[in-house]
Amino acid sequence: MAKPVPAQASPDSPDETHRPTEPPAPTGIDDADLVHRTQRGHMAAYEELVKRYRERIYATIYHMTSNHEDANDLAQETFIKGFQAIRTFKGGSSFYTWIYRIAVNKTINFLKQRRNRVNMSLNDLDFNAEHAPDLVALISERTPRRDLNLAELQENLNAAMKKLSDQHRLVVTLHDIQGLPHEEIAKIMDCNIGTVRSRLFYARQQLQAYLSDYLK
Amino acid sequence: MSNAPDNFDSLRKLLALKQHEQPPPGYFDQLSQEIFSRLDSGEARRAPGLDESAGWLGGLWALLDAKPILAGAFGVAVCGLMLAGILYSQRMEPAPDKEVLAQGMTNSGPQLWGPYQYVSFQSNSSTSPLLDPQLPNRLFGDLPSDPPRAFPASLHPIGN
Repeated sequence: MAKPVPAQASPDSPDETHRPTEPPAPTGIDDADLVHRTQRGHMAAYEELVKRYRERIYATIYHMTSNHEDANDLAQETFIKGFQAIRTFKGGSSFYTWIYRIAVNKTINFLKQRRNRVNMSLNDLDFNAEHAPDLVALISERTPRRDLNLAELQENLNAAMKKLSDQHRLVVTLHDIQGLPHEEIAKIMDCNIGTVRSRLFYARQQLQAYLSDYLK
Repeated sequence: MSNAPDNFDSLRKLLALKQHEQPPPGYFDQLSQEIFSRLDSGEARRAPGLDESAGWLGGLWALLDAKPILAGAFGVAVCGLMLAGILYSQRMEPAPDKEVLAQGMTNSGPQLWGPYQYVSFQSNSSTSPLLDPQLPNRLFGDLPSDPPRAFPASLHPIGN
């Protein structure tokens, strides 16, 4: 089981990646300004963009791969690729959609190569999950298996996710876990909203069948 | 609670479990550090054009790596092309018959007057054979078995 990389910095510590010769980009400016600054060579502006989207990009990749190390590598490659290609970004979509698309393409390609090679490794849940009201109710009241523990539930949930195709898992990840609207997902996946809806419906049906023991 | 197929409330609550899968505290700062240390080390200056020009081979490799069936088909195609090339080259350039050549050199010398097709122009019929079986199959006829001897030439007139 892959364990998350040990933390070396406190979550409250200031970001240590500021360029020594550049002041940090102000956090109040919008993405388009930050993109223009980055295109003119301001590294600090790109740092601010990374800071804004690193958690969501990482989470999306992580839920697709279920492996912290893979998600870490792919998230790094996504932002590096984004920086290399930032001059080609014309602003036809938001930076958010654009960088998401890079992440999704990299992840899908990675999964194609990884298929038939390794099993998914699961990370531990954080401790607070055990106290989430929804989960407590789900496990202790609605689930017939009252002795179910969180690790087992997580394992089965990830196994069910793994059975979905990449495209269906991506839709579930972006909508049901990340909370993105259908329109945004359609832009990221470069398809129409109807396709997103139908994929989501099919994926949920599949998951419901796989996880029927936990949903009665 | 309804268990209708399109009622996904329970499923969505279950999927909410995955929101609690978080990396350790401080991980994202570390992620930023790693990204910008890689950018500082020169990855940002790598020309995209260079990536793309070198990427077709990498892309082909990735494709073959991702699809073993395609890799097998590619291998079979390469082997087939190689085999076809070998067979074609053998057909176009037949190897000389060394045994026959050696025999001709030792027994009767080079056959400058070798077999040929003698065409008779005396026959006017299109149905009659062109080849005259009575004629020898050598241009100058059969060589005498005892060729005339050569005598030394004399510069003196005969009788002197």
